Amino acid sequence: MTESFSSSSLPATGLSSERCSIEASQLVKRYGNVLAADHVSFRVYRGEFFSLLGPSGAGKTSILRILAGFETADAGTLLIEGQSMDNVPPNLRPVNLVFQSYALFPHLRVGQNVSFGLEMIRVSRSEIQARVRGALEMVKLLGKEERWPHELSGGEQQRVALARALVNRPAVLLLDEPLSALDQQLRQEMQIELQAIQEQVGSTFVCVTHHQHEAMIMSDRIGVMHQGRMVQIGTPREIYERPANLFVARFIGISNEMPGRIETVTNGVGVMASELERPVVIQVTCPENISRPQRVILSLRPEQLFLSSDESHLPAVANVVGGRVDRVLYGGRETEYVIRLSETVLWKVQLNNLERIHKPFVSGESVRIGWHAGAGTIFPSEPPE
Amino acid sequence: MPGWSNTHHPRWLLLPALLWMGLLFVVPLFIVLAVSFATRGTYGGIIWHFTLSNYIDLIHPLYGRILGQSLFFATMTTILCLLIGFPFAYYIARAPRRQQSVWLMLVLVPFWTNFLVRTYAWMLILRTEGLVNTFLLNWGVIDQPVQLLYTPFAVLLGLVYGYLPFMILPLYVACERLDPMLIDAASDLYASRVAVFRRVILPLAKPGVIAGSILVFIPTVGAFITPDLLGGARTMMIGNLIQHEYLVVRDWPLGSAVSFVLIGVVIILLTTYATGGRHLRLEEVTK
Repeated sequence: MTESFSSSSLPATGLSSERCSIEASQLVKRYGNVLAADHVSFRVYRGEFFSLLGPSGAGKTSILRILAGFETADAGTLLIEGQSMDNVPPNLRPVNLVFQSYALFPHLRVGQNVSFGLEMIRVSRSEIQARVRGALEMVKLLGKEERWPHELSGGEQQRVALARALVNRPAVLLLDEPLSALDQQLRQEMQIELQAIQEQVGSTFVCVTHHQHEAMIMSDRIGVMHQGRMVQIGTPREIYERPANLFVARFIGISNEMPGRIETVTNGVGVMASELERPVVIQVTCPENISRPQRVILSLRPEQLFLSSDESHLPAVANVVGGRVDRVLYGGRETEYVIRLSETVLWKVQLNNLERIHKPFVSGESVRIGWHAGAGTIFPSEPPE
Repeated sequence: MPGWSNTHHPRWLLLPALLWMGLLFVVPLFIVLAVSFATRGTYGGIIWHFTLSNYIDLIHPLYGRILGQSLFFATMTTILCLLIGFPFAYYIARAPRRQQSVWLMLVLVPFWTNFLVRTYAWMLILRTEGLVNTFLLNWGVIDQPVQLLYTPFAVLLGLVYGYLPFMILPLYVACERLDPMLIDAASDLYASRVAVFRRVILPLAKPGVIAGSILVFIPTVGAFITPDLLGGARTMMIGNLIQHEYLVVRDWPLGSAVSFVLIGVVIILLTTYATGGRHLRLEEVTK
């Protein structure tokens, strides 16, 4: 497991700046008393699909607006394609933005919207024609040049916005919540299409989103932001399997948590006493920063858990706890069981419905949950607030 | 969906306005039209004897000059209001909500006082012993009073002052409706500040420009208080002529004929302006 994710990740250090599209270091942005960006640093490599992910208000849009040049950072430096962006206005930056609301010019036709940027930099008329055609072809809107933006569906408007930015062949394409206004099905199609387009044009894509699943499937790397800070940068796999802190664990996917106390640590293997009504002893793998007895939280992903009505049907696992089915959420392909371990501890486990290897559990049924000693991540307990 | 339109879009909503306008605007207008073809009595009455002579009398260089002067003042006023009003309207439209209402209130403050009173106030400011001259004399900028009142300049100043709010309000509405993201989008697409204004802000504010221009042009072309009080005997606009014919000469038929010539000219100009605007738009589109 460890090898598989390191092979797909780009090394975070030791890369020369020539391969960098964006180098942001220690960016600070204040709005009154609010720190929208709190010493944010990150690098985006050429041709990479990089997502800024976080809940609303995390500061990701501020970062995007600083990259586009609509906002100026109060402190910090920003290099795009090796050039300092100090005092460079938006119209002189080698970036183009796909706006969340698309921001298509309502008084211009589709073709004129797409050619706007090229006209501004005085590209020859014949080249404009060819490039607009190419861009519209790429987003599958050829033949709609003469339409007005308001005559198009939301999905088509989104494609015009994309074509209008890509036609300029920007070094970096910025996308602000690009798929948030589309319905579920269109969204999934566009996720695949965006990746295909990126492979085709080879530009660096920086995408802001609060949608963790979307970020995971589209991005080469993700920067997770929380309260103006960059809390973790890594591949989708690294972020999901090795979240840097509890916030990341909870924000990306489901985190089933067990508070407890590490009693002893030997060679990275810890013995933890759970803080349930009936304490259980659990074997855990401790990260390097946890080497002495202390209070911790163990976070487990639903797919790391085995569920059975009695212990004899569980595979050979190190840890087993008991619980009671609190709620059954039937979702078609899978069923989610909410299981109560104690007064305050509720876990979620999803079981595939296609393999009928067990009969469905019912509400109120008592169950056993098991997992391997290596599964899950240990975080130091948050100091009481 | 006729059922829908009947319950939520009933025609009787039009009735009060149609009655009001019909009785108080259209009917008097036809009376004036009829009077313009009548003959003046010896002591100023109306004799219902059909004649075209009122219109024929108007074919005279003097009337042409008065009409030309009126159109010149109205055009200059419209252009000046546009140049002064646009930046202001744009600024308020971009200000925070609460500030917007304060600014709009300030725009409307002049309406709290009677227009005539305000024009008299301008006379006090502009006359030879007025505020401006006293100020300039005291500071030694000039050594004898400058003639400000009773000049074309004073008329233009008075007209712009009086009608600026009518330009600002529709421009404000147009600018307020403009999505600021479009300005970001244009500058993201390499447009300089000038290009953003020319290619995005101006075309989108065009309905406001047209509405404001009409609201300023029409009343100024027929204005009579301002040219009368600030322009003195030397500047006569068509509004003064109409007033003169009705109230001084008591030649109602001629006054009515002048009124109808004015209405005709305004209609022709507005149609050209409106269709000209459409041609311009088509041109932009086909480019």
